[in-house]
Amino acid sequence: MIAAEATGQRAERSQLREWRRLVVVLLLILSPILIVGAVLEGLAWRIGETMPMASISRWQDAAPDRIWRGGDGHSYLAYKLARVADLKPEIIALGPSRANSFRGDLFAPYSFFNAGLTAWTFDQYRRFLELITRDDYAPRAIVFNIDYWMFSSGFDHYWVDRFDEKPETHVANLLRVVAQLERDPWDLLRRLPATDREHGLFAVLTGEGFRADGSQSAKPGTPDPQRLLDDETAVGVPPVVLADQTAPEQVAVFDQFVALAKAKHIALIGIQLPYYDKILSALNDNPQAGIWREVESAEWRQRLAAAGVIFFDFSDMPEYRAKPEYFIDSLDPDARIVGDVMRRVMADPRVRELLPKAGTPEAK
Amino acid sequence: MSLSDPAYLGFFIVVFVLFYLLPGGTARLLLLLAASLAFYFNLAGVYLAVLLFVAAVAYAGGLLLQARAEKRNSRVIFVAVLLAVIAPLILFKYLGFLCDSVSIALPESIARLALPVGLSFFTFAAIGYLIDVNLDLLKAERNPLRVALFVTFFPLVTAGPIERGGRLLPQLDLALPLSSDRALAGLRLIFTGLVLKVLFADTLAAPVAIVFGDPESSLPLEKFVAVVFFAFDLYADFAGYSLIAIGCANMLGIDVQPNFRQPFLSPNIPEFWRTWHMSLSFWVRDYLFLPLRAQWRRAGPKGMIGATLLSFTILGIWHGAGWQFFFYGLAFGVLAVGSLYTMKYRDAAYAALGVPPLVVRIIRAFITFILFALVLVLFRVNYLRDAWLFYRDIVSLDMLSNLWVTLKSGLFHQGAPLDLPVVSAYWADWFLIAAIVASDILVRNGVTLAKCPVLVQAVAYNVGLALIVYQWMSSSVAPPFLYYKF
Repeated sequence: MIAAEATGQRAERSQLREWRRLVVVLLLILSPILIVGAVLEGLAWRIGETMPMASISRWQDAAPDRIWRGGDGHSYLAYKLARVADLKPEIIALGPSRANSFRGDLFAPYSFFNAGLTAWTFDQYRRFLELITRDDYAPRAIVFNIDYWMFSSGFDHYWVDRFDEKPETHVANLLRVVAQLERDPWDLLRRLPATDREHGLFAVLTGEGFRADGSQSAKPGTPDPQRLLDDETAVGVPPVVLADQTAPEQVAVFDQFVALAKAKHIALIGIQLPYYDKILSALNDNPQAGIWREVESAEWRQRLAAAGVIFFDFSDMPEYRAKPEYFIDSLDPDARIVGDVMRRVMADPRVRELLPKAGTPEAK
Repeated sequence: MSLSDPAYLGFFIVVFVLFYLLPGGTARLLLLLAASLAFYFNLAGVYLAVLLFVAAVAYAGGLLLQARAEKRNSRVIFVAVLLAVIAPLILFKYLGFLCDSVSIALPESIARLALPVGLSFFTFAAIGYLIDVNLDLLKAERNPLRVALFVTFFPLVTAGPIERGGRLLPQLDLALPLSSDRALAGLRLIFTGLVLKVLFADTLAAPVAIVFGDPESSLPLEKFVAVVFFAFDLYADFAGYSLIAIGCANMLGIDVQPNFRQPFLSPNIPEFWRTWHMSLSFWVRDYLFLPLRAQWRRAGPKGMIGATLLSFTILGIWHGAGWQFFFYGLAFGVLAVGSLYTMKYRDAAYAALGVPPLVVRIIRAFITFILFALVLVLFRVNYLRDAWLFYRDIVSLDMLSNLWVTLKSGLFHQGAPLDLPVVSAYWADWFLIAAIVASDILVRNGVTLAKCPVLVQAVAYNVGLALIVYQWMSSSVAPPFLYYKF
């Protein structure tokens, strides 16, 4: 019995030795790749590309000047949802890049978050709204970008892949860092000190990203005016599509979005922001742009009003439309135009009634 | 979850650790069986029932064949058992083709049936076991769990090697303690297999897919290069798979027969088939060719030729239902017979010309490879008509007359202007092929990575693993193994 026990113990010890040897040999042989892997993980974390969005949100809360924007291909939806979940803002802005410059200052003391660059279609607006209101929270108002082309047939087709609810995988995020290291390792390493203020590959590489209020920061400087004439944006090229009239299926999706907001007691403020002269003139002159004229008509405004949407059409602002220095590109007005637009919006009695405290001394 | 997936390796590590934490015997048997069933269910879903059916028939059939009392009934029992074990293969793989050939419409519910992964492999393993029991070469296994594991063992179930009952069943005591040397040897095989599959096969597969996907638009020289690439693609793919499977089995203390032994160095077609997909060719040799040859011995050379042609044709049809597989097997049969009966004349010719033995060997290996690659077209195309396009273009002088134009315009580019990335990728493919040939020559001469200095090994493992991991990370879906469709 004792002999059997001793044999058993010896066998156990020998097995332990074998396990230990196997692990040690593997660690020794593979130590270079393990070290490289660990360094890569550390670098990606330091850049903020692989950080969970909840951590990014907390990091951004700690200092007002911190910006985040992941590398190309990184979904901004998860980031914006995490920020909304943390901030529970009273006012949310929604829209494509045209909505990037909506800022919270003018809404104060109401809390504000710009969830732009996550949703491009009315269906995506609706899905975003569903996602943020899953647990009893609902904002007081949604300020959303509205463009005539969103009512065109098949418009969803161009943007269907952009609203990705699947969480970003760690591997995909890591690969973006690896790809950047392949392109230009020194550029990335040189910019590492900036990671105290900037997180995410795009932010680290360009110095531009989403501020704590979700709006997109832009580098100061005077852009070349010629770029607006040279850019590929043109009437007939998506998203500036041509159509004879609005598509019933898109109008129906818009109605669903409005209905969901209503059900959640959320006020809707729709704004059509200015276009640069090149686009505006081409739309006005094009006989195939029936949809543009329909959405610009008084009947259409009445329809929106009847649906309960406070609508502002700033598509043509004569004081800016031919001034390239006020546009980032033909479709994206810069922060000064958007600031002016928002001042006008806030002065509107319908909005004042909705947000009575906005712009009061309390805001200071 | 294919064997080259990171997910599979994660799964395997868990099984490996649990396996050695459990005491040898039934506990390990149950673990491997559960792992095998889970693995197959993950791959094939409800078709797990087919695998279980074949295992059940193998078990019951083995006992039945062993217990047969009267000699008179034994043949009937044997045929009945064989028909039962082959039934799923007929139903899922050949019934559609057979009915098509005689213009009989299959009911929709049957026509829609997909081919269960690995059906041909585990069915042949089961048939081999039953034949061995029938011939009293093997005692029927009384433990159903062991038979079930023999048929379903997860590293082998999807694409072999097709193991023999006499070799695998005695190893299913599963009592071996962990040996770090054996585990490391297994890991080396897995690593080599992953290099072959992930780095070599998946890279070579891209240009092959372009040409075979649209043979009408590709140039004659492109077709020829694609045929050569495909031979190496298939080799790297299947040999890679086999090494991963054998490595995994080794790590669990189970020795599995090799499936490839540097086939592209073979000097003739019969020798080629002794080094290519060995588990299948030996299966066909032992269970088909040798009995047929014995049966037809009296017919002399005619009997030999008949047995060879029939064996190779069945080997071809094993790969799939379709005339291309029939001709694929038959062509190898003809080549094997031709090789056998012209050998002495060719030997005499080389001797008369005074060609040095090494050069003879190289010429023979080259000719064998080209013949194999050309026949392989039948394996890759979906329709015989496509194979004709390949053969017509390759054999015609168009290939040579357009040589310069084709090279100038860039291969795999269908006549479009020269594109540098395409051309550089194309040269990288040739480099991979050269690496495969060089490594085969080294291994044939006894130079293996395991025998290299530790530093060389460490560099190879780290660089190889880094490239594999990068490839894994870059591709969202791992391309399946080519032999999964059998």
